[in-house]
Amino acid sequence: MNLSIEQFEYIEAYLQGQLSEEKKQVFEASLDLDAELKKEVETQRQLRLGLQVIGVQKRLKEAHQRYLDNLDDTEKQEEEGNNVRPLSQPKTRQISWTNWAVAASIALVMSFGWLYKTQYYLSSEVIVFAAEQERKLAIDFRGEANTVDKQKLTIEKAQWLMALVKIKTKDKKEAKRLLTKIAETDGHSFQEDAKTLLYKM
Amino acid sequence: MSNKKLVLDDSELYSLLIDTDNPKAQTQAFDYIYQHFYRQVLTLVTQNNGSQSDAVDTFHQAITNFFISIKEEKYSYTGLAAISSYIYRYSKYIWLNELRRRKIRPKAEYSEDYQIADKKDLVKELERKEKLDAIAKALGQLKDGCREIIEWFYIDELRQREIAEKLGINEPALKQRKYSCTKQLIRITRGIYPDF
Repeated sequence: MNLSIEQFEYIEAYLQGQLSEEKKQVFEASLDLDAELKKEVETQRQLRLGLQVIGVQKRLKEAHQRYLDNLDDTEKQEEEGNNVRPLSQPKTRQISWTNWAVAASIALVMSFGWLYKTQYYLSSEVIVFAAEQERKLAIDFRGEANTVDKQKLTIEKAQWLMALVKIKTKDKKEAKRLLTKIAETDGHSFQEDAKTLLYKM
Repeated sequence: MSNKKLVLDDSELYSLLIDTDNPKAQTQAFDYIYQHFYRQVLTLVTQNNGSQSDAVDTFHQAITNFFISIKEEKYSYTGLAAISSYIYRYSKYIWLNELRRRKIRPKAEYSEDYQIADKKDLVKELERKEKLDAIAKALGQLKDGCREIIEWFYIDELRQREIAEKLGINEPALKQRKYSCTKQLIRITRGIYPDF
């Protein structure tokens, strides 16, 4: 199809969302009646997307350079040597048993009923993962808390445990909300665990 | 990081990302994404038989895919899952498939995701990649004057008036040149990728 300059510009305006709602509807209706015009619109859409992707890649390279320029010496060494701290490795979590015994007991008791009731509503992967997390949490309770981090850890463990409990009580929406909050908190001891669980859900 | 880290919540980040015609918004979004999400992908790749350069390629491809999902309205922000988890998931998908292409088995903890891509997905992605590559190649074959105009309009997203001033021509003349250059670009792209 040999487009006139006016047709070409009209298609551009349509793709850029510059047409009024009324004009947009009329134009879309005309596309259904004109296969050639529809193909031209698709070609321009693809071309525009392809060029925008080139722009994205150009700006990503620039962002990468700025990122490298702003690393301090230690971070540079880590990255250059590929000696990166594994973010997803389980962190050492120490907290006193007495502080958590009650919470853990409640969670464990609830889990029996939950495992029976919710296995048809949540994927087995999520169930197994949550159960593993609870087991790890119970083991960690036996350690001694570092006094500096104790308060922070206590709060973070409470948030994590609450999210696990929500999974067990089938409150998927609330579980996702709590997990998202943890996943978005930089430096949260359970940030990576929350991300993994969200991904599995 | 020696400079100050950007602070954005997911809805703010999403607002910057959907403003796809605004390079400044995109630049800010990418700086934030680099500062907050990159190291996780670097760890994923470098601890699974990849180099730092592989990590950068994987990360860029993941963000590009995420951008395309937004443009094609396959992704819209709901607040339920963090954007970081999408980018990590795309990165993992891309890297595990790259490992498969190189015939390398990933570490045991990733083995369950090893067969993540089915043939249909791969064919679709391959077609899209070929099409995008053809456009990039065709752009490189355009004559300088035309390539400049196309880059300023569609890659740098400059305004028509700015481009006309740069070229020292009026806006109607610029419209005519843009029209003609776009037609040339489509013709060259079709020469490389006939189904375009």
